[in-house]
Amino acid sequence: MKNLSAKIALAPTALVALVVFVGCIAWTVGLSFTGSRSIPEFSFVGFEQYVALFGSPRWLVSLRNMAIFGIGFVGGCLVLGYLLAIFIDQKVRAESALRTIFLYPYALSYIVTGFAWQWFLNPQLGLQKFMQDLGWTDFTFRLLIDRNLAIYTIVAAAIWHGAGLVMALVLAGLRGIDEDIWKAINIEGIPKWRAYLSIILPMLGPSFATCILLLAFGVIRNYDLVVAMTGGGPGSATEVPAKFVMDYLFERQNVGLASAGATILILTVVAVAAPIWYARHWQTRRAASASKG
Amino acid sequence: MRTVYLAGISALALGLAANPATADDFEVIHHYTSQTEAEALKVIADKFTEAGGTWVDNAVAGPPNTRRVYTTQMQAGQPSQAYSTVTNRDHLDFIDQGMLTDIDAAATAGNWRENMPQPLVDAISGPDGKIYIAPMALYTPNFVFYNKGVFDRLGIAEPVGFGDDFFAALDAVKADGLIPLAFSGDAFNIRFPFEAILLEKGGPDVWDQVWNQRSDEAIRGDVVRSAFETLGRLRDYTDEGNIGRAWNLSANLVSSGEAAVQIMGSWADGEYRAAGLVAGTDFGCFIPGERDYVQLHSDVMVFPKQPGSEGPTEDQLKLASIIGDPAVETLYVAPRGALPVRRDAALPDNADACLTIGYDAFNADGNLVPNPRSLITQQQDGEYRDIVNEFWANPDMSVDEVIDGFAYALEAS
Amino acid sequence: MSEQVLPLAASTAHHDGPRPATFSWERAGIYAFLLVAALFFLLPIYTMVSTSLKTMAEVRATNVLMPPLAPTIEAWGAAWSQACTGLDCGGVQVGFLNSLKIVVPVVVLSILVGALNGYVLSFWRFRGANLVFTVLMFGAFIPLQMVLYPLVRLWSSLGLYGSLPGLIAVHVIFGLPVVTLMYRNFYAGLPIEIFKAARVDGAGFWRIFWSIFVPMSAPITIVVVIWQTTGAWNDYILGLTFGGRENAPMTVQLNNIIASQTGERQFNVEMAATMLTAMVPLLVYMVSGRWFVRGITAGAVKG
Repeated sequence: MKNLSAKIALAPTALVALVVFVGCIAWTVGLSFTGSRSIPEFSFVGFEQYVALFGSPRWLVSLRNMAIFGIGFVGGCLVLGYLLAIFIDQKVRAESALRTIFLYPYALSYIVTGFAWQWFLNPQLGLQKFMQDLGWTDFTFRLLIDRNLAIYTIVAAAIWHGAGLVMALVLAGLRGIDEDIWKAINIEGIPKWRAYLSIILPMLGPSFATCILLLAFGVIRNYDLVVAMTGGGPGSATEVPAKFVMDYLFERQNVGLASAGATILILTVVAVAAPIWYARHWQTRRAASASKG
Repeated sequence: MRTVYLAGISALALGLAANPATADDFEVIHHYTSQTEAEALKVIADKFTEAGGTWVDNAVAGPPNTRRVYTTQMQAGQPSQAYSTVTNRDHLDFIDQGMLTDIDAAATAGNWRENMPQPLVDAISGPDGKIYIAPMALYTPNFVFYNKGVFDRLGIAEPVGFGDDFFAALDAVKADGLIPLAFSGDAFNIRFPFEAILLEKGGPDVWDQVWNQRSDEAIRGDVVRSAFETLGRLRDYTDEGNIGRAWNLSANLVSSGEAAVQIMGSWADGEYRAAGLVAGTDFGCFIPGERDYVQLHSDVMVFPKQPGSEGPTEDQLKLASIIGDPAVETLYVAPRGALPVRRDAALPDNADACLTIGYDAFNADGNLVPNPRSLITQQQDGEYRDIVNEFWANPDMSVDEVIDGFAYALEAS
Repeated sequence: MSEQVLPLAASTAHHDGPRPATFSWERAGIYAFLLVAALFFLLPIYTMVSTSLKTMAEVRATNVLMPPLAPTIEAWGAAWSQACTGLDCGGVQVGFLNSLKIVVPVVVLSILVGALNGYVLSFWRFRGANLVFTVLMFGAFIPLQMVLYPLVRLWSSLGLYGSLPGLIAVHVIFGLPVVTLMYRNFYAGLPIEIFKAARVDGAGFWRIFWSIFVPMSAPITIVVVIWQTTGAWNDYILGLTFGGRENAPMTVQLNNIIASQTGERQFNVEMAATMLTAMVPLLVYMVSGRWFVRGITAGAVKG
């Protein structure tokens, strides 16, 4: 058989991918059609769980929050990461130290991140009190407890955590740009900011693509950060689907409903990823056949 | 590369060689991770070890996390020998699935039914009438604490309940510039003030209609409406920082004199004492309402069925007997500022004025009402708390809206 | 300041010239931005450190931004060896060894499997290879909640539940997608001639892997070490669910200290415990941060 060794080498991973990833998803999807309460069991109830799911205001709020978080977090990390990379790349002093400062939050878990931010934003003991103690008695910094702002605060904490990674990846990309390009830019007299926006940015396409992929992994799974920062509150202002699923899986003892929620999450991933994957697939195909010529 | 590989394999081998569990190990999963909780549990653990058992401690903070561990363990077919939780209905589902064992032999031998209040016996029994759960300590979840120094200075008398005298007191504190009510506004803590208000306004009858019968008429009735209106009024008497604030921090506000009142369960008593305050002198407490109705709220130990045994194992019965022993109970509740579950158990020596109030309330007949979580499912409980928490956090939400949500949560299956 | 040029990296000096020595508004603006950014990134951790150096009385009395008046490392000592995490009051040190026992094999195995996968997917085209990769990428999105129950049951039937090897396996499995992606991108970025030349020389599958590509993998391997160390060390849910009581990692101890819903809170100890637990990945990042960037420069980042 052709490529036998290669196939054998990939076999364990293939097995794992099949059994764990595909198998567990199939199991969960199957459970979403059952009436499981505290324990998984296979009593078929049709689409009942889905009806209940979309009738739940909390689920709808969490979907909305996931969209806000997804766009805000990925967008914010890309923008801030790019800016940080650009500025650090300007031959500044203490570049090493600065890079460490911007990158270290990525070494922290989301639980620690949420815990630190929640502590910092604590109205009784945190920044608000600090400013008030200094004399600005009317100062309010109610980001975490304001129903409309709380989700954006979570986005901010997530950006704090992830921007460093984007910076590292983009910085690598920046450093890989041929110096001739810069010479041409200088000769043409294009202002730097224009250059970064219209010329350099498109060249960094692959870097940004990887960033988006790595960041996107975290959007669906966002659970720890919300739990550590707000527990879903105030009210249900910061509920997210991953937390909804976890709560109903164990706390609320409705495995069927939780599975329905999880299935919807996976469908969301498929819906967003499939077109992108197809596009890249075609692109690679075309590039491969072009290079063969 | 090869060295790395070898290093990894040796690390793996080392890990594999770690101590395997022996057959006699008695694993207990619990959420008692703070110092006083651990101190109290140690009383039971020590007695268990004295009696010849091998206590293996598996502490997991945060009851949701604890639940995750014991549930997945049971799913995997490797349950612990015991786990802790609070009064709720979980066990009914598990008994249905054949996952728990009763400890009736220990209960009968220890005369539990004769010495525990009936609502408690109901809460710890299975559908077959046998007792499955060992209750460890009682708390009064509907309780009000206040800073006596502040009250005395402003000339406020201890209110009776949540009526006009209560709001007059809050007004007086507000006029003085302090925070009248130290509130903890999140889905976990919102139940205590809300249920306290509901119990005070409607007594056991409405309580039963709302939580047990879940009658639409009662849920949309005047008493529930009045309870929500009162809760809504309270929004004006607390500070902004109440959202998501831990109950200990709220207690600190009261003990330091920045705030005057806290509506919280009797476990907060420990926090006040830790701040150096003395009940009756520095801080006061009362059960709201003319009559001292108390809601049942107990820490309990549950016993999963062990593979290979139909009923309880000897060690499980041993632990159950120890927990149900009146003398042990007195020792157990002492560090935690809780109450023993048996009527024939004495109050610990360090019991302060607040504990005595609870104790007297429990021991008077007819005062005890069941815990809502013994009557409604976890999902109903979670959803009702979600909507009440939403109401609290959102001043624009009308009482009609929250009543609708409340009805929806309770009447959904 | 000089960046060494890696053999496979592109030039790093893209706008030539030494650092400008004279003052200019542009330079000032750059530094101002970086300063503000640095403050943003440092403030939360500063508050945690400052709280951990205070006594509880001081924590209650002041706000988190004030530096401690009389710094004390009492909370740190308590967090390491005395804080109660249950009946045991042994602090987080108990979990430290467990975390090591988990993370080291995880990293080693991840490297081996990931490198092999990346190698296969880059150079050996056969039906199904791309499908496996697609499924892996898809699997990276799955929230853990979806797999907890089925995986627990599966692991239990395989006898892996509650054991250290079982926990290590779970970590490796969940790390597979990203690690495979990194190695695949790296190898795909190398000149294809290397592979072709080796084939022409008659070398077989394993020979090419071990003798040629593995020695070249240092840059990306460092990135993977950093990534997996951080991920595995910081994990809580997997360790809690699959590890069993004896293998509980440090994060479980930490959670027991900071997440007590029903007891009293000692914030200074909680902060210290949090920092102690975060210490290992933090140190890894601080020490090897520059290799992280270099490794990525060397080709982790390709489309």
